[in-house]
Amino acid sequence: MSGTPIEIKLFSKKAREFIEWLLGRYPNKQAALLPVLRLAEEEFGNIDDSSVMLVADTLDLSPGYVWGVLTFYTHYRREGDGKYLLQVCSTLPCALRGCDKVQRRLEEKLGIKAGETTGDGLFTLKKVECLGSCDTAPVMQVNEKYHENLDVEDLDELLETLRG
Amino acid sequence: MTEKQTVNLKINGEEVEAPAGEMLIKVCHDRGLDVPFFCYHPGLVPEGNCRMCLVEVVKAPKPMPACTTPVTDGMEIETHSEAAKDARADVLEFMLSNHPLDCPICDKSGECLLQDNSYDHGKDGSRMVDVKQLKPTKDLGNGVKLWGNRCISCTRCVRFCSDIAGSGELAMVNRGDSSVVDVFPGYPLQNPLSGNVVDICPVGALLTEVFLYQARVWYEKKTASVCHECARGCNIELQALNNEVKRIVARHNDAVNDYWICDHGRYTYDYILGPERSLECRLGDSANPADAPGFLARRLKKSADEHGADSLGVVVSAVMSNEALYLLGSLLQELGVPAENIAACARDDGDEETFKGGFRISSDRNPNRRGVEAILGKDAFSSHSDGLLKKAKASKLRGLVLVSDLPGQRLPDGWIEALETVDFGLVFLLENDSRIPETAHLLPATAFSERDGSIINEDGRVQLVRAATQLPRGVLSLDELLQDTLVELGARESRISPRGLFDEMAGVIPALAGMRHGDLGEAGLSAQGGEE
Repeated sequence: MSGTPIEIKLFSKKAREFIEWLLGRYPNKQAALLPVLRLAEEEFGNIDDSSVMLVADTLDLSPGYVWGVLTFYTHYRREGDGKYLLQVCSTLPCALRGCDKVQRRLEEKLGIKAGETTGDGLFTLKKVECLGSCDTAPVMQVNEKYHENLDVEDLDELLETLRG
Repeated sequence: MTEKQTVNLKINGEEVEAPAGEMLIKVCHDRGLDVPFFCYHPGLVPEGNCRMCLVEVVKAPKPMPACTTPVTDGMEIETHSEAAKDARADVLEFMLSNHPLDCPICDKSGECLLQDNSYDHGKDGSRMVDVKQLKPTKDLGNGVKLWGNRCISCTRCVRFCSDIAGSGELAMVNRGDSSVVDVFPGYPLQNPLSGNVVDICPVGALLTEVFLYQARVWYEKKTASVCHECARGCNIELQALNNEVKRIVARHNDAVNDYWICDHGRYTYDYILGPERSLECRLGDSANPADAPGFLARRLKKSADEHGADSLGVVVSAVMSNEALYLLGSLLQELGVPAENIAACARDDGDEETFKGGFRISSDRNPNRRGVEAILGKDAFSSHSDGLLKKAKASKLRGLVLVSDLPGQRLPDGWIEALETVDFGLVFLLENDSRIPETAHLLPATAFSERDGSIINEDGRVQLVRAATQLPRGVLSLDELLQDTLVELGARESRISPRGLFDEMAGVIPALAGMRHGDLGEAGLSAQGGEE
């Protein structure tokens, strides 16, 4: 299939040593996929198509398989994601506790829809499946940090803080 | 302690004995119970993700998927209790919550598990009021198209690509209600078995480009036959409409091809009615195919009488059926032509390929090489050919009959040159060949979809080929024509059925000894000494 050729990436020596160590802890290469994806994210800042190829090559998996796993999980930073990745949980407990209001307010404030990034590259908004914090619904994850028991009124302040 | 081989359980109140470790769904299906499913496929590793096969297990806190629940001693199963039926109806309601229900324009319609299961097990309404998810419609590669909206995320195709083909191009991408099957950008489907994902897709999410909007499946005539593209003899179903093969799909046979066929076999049927197909009849002054048996009998007899039977030669192919080979053999025997004057022309070898799940494409592209060897002898491909060509060069060959029925492959030049040196030349021609001299007579060769008969695969398995389409009115298939020619010569009384012909042949050909047409069935039989 034609298209722009994917840039060929390589892991650093340190990362390769880490993978070597990692593989010793798993029954097979496939089982190490999640930590190796995380490593790629740390190495290159996000995971783009060339990182998928690199990870697939490293673990003897098909690119399709890596692609399936990567797209299942929402917590990997993807190519084009803004500085702040806002992930609003939309699964049942959060839905019952008003996550759609949170989602709508964020869309209004940022002028983007779920799955989009603001023009200044600061915010990416995503609607995601369960973040595993149902007892504190509704929940939003901003980069590595959870914001729990969200109130729509708190969102303005949060965005201001993030804008700095 | 010895391990127990069987377990005893109760299904719908009936005592059942089943092999230990067997999955519940298989035990139920073997007993004729209708346990519906989507993601389960007997040729794939079970995953239990669609929940359509939920059954009630007494004392279990919730219904269990029959496809991933092994039978155990003392288990009590209810497949059609209210709880089980409700569970399955609820599953279907969820499944339809995002399905577009575009059955009127969907090619899967009529052979769709979602239609069938909804009809048999679904509710007569939906409570879903939400907007349906939209997913992409796109090409996945190798002529396979995806209708994302129709996908029910059963992952049959994903498991096929990873476990059977071994190439793993397909994956479920995204999560939750936006998950859909897809490929990694720039890495489309490229394995030579990819058409199977269309066969096994339980809905209309994966379809082949060539069959798109070609036919409503319920109007098609379906014929169980055998693939002629390599020596494996994979079991196929030919689906025809208006006397045209519209589609070839895999047919299950554990002894040969499991549930799969390769793309080459699946998509190679265009030639049957293609622009190169020759249907010309050129018999001296006559263009009437009805004259063929008389003409053939007369001319062969004349040639044998005038120049001696040794001056006649025949070239057959390893695509022909056992029956045609057998009849041709007896025709020449009748005329006194020596056995070494029958040569066979083989198709060029291809690449041998074996896949992760064990499926194999043979490098031998001759579907009936073993049949030629069994009926005409192993030398037909080698020394007979050399001898006949030598004879032609020395101008000792006065009559020559060629069967040129290899799809996509013309006869070697040597035979065409030989045709120019003989007094009587006749070619059974499948595809146009401009090298054939004007003086040669022509009759249409029979394509594999146009005849009844049998072939022997490379493992020695004898399998039945069945006619799915017909030659134009008045044109006889090769074995019919040969029978009629033998009748003209007074060697046979009248034309007999494929069944009678096979049984007669089995009485004469050692490799078929003891076989009856009626015993071959859909799956075929291993020939004597065939297992190697």
